[in-house]
Amino acid sequence: MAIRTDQISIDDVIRIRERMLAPTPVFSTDWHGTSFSDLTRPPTPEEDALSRMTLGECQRHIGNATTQIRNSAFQYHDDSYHILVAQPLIPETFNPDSPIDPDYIQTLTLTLQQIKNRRDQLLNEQEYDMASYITNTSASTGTTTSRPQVSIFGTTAQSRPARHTMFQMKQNSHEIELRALREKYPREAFNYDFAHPMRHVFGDLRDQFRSHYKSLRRLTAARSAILTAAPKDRKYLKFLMENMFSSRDLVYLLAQVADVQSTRTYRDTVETFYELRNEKMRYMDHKRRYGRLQAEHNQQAAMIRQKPERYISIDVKQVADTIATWDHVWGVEFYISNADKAVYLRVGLCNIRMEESSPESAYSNPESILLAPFYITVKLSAIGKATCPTRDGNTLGLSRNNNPGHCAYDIHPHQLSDQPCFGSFGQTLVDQANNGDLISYVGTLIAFYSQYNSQDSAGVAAQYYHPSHIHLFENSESYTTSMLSGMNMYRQEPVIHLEKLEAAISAYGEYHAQCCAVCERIEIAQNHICYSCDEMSVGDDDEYYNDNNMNRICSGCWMDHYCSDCERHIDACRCEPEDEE
Amino acid sequence: MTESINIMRHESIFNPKEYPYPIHIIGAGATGSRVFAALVELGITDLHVYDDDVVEDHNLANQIYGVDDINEPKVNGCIAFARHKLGIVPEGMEAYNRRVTDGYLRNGGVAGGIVFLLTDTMASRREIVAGLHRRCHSLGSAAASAPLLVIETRMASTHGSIFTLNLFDDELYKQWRSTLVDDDDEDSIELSPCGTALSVGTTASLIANYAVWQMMQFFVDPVGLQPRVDLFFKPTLTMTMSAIAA
Repeated sequence: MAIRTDQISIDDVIRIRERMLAPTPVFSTDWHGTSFSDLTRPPTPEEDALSRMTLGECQRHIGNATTQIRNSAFQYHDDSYHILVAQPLIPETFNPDSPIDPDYIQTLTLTLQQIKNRRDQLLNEQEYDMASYITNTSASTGTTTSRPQVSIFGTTAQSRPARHTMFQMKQNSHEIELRALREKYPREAFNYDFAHPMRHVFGDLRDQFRSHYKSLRRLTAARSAILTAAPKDRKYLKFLMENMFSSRDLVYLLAQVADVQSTRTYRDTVETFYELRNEKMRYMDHKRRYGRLQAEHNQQAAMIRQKPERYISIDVKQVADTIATWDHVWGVEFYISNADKAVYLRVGLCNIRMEESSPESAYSNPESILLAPFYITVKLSAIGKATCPTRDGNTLGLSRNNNPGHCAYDIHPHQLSDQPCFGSFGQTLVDQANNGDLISYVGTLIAFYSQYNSQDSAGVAAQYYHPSHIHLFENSESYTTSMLSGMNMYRQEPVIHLEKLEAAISAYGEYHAQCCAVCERIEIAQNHICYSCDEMSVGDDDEYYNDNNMNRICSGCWMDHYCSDCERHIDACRCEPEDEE
Repeated sequence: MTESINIMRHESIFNPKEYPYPIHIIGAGATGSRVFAALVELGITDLHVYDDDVVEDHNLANQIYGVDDINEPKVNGCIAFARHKLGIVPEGMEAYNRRVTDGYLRNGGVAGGIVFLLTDTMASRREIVAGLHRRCHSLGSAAASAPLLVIETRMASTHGSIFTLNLFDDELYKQWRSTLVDDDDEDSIELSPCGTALSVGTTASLIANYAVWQMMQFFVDPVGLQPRVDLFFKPTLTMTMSAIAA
């Protein structure tokens, strides 16, 4: 704004002159403290925000600013950086007459250089504190302490109050012990629960039999009524029964000569009766052979359940630091939620190469498939249960189908819903979670993501993660930003190896281009096995039928389980065999 | 006494810390009081003793109580024994001056762990075991309070039996019930001049300690546990059986 000189008083001139002669009131980078002149005036909002900024926040802002500047059109020129600063809530804020803006969130513009200066100041302060600590310690004990490792994307260097890193968890050891106990006994010992009487065990089956038997009696009673009714009443009886019985039953009821044993109701009744009888006999046999074993098992299980529960404390910071040193990890962040009573551990993975894990691959040419860098989230609850949520940005990587060319959670053939399908890895992961062994858990997850099982219903889609099928990300910078944003979501000072991430993204781009140039798609070998029995060959030269879904069915299964009018013959099928029509 | 002492020299054989289960002693008579004493000496502190009777002078011959305990509740005598033995009453050791009934069991009494059933009548045995057996077939918290093992003894003047019951085993429970006799059957039960079952201190001591050994055996090597042991002292004979009844 231009200033008209005729409006300036002598006092103003003196004040301006004094201000010009005074030391420049910029934010001091002198780590000995703020100059006296700075203390004579209230700090500006920017200076106030900078003075309260911790080393971790500085590092985060520098990381974000660097990423933004790299991605912006004004590369290396525009060093302004907009940040949101939360002003502290003080009682005066709520006073209507207070000059303090109740909207305590305000946007400030700081230069990257200002933040770097603040970071240097804090580092110098820390170094000074450490130096005085070393001096004092050396004087008293004669020992020396090495300087802590501090880096922009480092893992330490805290200047604010110590972060809460301990997570207390109740080990779910009962479950592990119970499973181990169960494995000691033959599987047949658990076919039935002998602790309950037979009438409870077979209650449903008995009710089913009673229902069928009731229907049969009703049918025979109706048939008897029709046969004994006077001819003049018979047509009214027919009309009545059309509303009470199915068309199948009416065939039997109205036939001149009919055998009740040929009806479906009779057949169902007899089948249920034999099933109930056989089940009871099997129950008695099993009880005689395995009753003692099951009783022993139940006694031992009660012993396990009555044991006191064990608690462990997990140093999540230590876990994160350990995981961050692994080759395939580009970033780690964690957050302990008191509300959820859980710890969230986010791990960024790179250079993960999927290998075929099935001994007999469904692919004609099974080869390893490199995955683009991604991150996953592990949620470990205080009762020893762990999940790997995928939605809501908990898992992010190069999308196959949901968002081609961009980020989504469908990053792996076994990860299609809100939880990955761990398959044979499941029990191992459950045990590790029960023990609170987070490091092993993440290690197992890496092993899980490093394989696919083409014989699995989900894993057979692994071929679509091959570069010849999957869209490459459109912009590697935005992909990097997405990864970093996700890793920064908890704002808990994540450990990020930016160079490793960028190198992995770059390497994946090259891999993708190379594979696409060769253009060797992985294809599923056509084995043509019967869809129903999974045994008989139904190749082009074999006899086969197609069901409604165009699956090939061998002639044996077709005759036994299928009929021409319905998709698949099941219990609820309403079709009658041809000989009864 | 404030100094902490360690009286245990048997950890290699049986370390009670490895088995953190409550031990319930129902009945603190000739066998019950001696079982209590043996368990205290083993170092078990999670002990719960139940009895509604008082110490009389004729109990001094075959039970652990002293002259000072006469006319006092028997469970108080047990606690006094523990205090005398250890200098303190350990945390977790509880005495219940009451009778264990089916109603008490339904309200959650005698929860979990090992139960020494050492009452003086067959009827109370039948009632208590039926209540505990019911828990093994229930769901939820009641199932968690099912006993791991019930050790029951029968004693005459010169012989006795120890039954070790896994109540999850219905067949075993059925066999055990068949061994119960009527309390009025004078042919089966020896009676003392005062009308109660006759007992000799040395016999009670042997049977009590054998019962405690059964518990230790269950914890250390449950496979070798015999559900029924018959002891005869005139002449000496020990018979172990793999089933309670043929």
